Amino acid sequence: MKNRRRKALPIGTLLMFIASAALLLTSSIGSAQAALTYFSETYKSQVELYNIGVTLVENGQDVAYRNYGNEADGNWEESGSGLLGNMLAEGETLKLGKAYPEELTVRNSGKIDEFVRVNIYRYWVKGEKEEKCQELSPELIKLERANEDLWIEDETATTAERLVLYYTEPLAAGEVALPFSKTLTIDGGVAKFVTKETLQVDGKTVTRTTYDYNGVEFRLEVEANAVQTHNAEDAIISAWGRDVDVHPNGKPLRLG
Amino acid sequence: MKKASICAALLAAVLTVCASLPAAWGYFTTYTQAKGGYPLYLGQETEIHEDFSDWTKHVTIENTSELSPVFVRARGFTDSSHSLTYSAPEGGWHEEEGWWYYDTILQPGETTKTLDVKISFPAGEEPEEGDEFNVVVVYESTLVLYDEDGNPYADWSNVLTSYEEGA
Repeated sequence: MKNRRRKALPIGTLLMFIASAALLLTSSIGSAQAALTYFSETYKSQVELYNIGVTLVENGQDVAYRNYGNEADGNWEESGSGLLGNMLAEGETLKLGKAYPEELTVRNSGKIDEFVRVNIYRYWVKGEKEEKCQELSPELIKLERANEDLWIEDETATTAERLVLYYTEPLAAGEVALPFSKTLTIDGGVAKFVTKETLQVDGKTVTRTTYDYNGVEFRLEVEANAVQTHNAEDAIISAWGRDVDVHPNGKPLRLG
Repeated sequence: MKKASICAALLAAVLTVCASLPAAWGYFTTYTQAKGGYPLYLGQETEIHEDFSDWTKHVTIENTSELSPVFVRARGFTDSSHSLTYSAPEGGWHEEEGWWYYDTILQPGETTKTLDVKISFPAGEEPEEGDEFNVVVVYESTLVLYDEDGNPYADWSNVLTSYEEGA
């Protein structure tokens, strides 16, 4: 029987393997060192604050909130009652052209500081299935803005239906931002879209005009987002996909 | 063994690349949302009620819609040989540039006070039964609009219903 000689690994391959193993080991050691400081008692008390929360406030009343709990288990509390619930008195119909009070803002209902932004949507719907009425302009739903120096508009994200506003100052826990809106008005221009027909009724010539948008409903939808202030620029680009500049020492957030 | 060398080299390369990848980070975020809205009730209907006596039309207008208050106005037209005289025996109407406007908003279910439209004949002419006269009375209504302070006003360029009746 022939003795088979075992071939040794080529020296180059062996050296590369040893080098890669050494690199891997070194990187692991680095992580372990970070872990040791991460779990030091002083640092541990800081990272136990998982409660980020945000509340949408309308005319001084909470209308929707989402607050994360004390444990880092992903659980949260949320609730919502809808917007404009108290806009009209019982039995009152909407008055075209009238400016109804609509002060909207955001409160930090968590326990860590946060940056906030709001996405505001205005549109028309019709029918039982609430299909969007594309031919009617969202501009007829007028939300008058407030505190525009603090709530800056992201013009790259603005469309006919959507308005995105960023609050330039961080909100401390419990703090309420200044309102971003004052009033809501449905423009009387919606009544200008009519169809006329002329009929003979009982000896009379009747010109009947029908409002094209009788029965359509307007919708105002607001989404409030919040993100941690720690590493805010990275957090915002990661969570909201938006480049921002956040300077230390209380300087305002700026859109990049 | 050549295969083993290649595999080992590839494994080494992969491990080296993985070791240089940065750690993944998670961020604390949250959001909430709310929406609301109301329907627009723009429909409106009015009915004209007329009585005729003593060469006079006695007119009232009723708002028969369920939800929409309206403004109403009326005026008459006749040929050049006759004229029309208006009066509101119970008040409630005023004249402006040839039109007679009801003073107040006509709420759903309400009826205006009477507006009398009388045909006047030239001096010396006595009308007889069977005579025909060309008189057209136009009645218009329009939706009540509001300014930002909630004060009502009428946009007469946007008339909903217009009735014309000859006599």
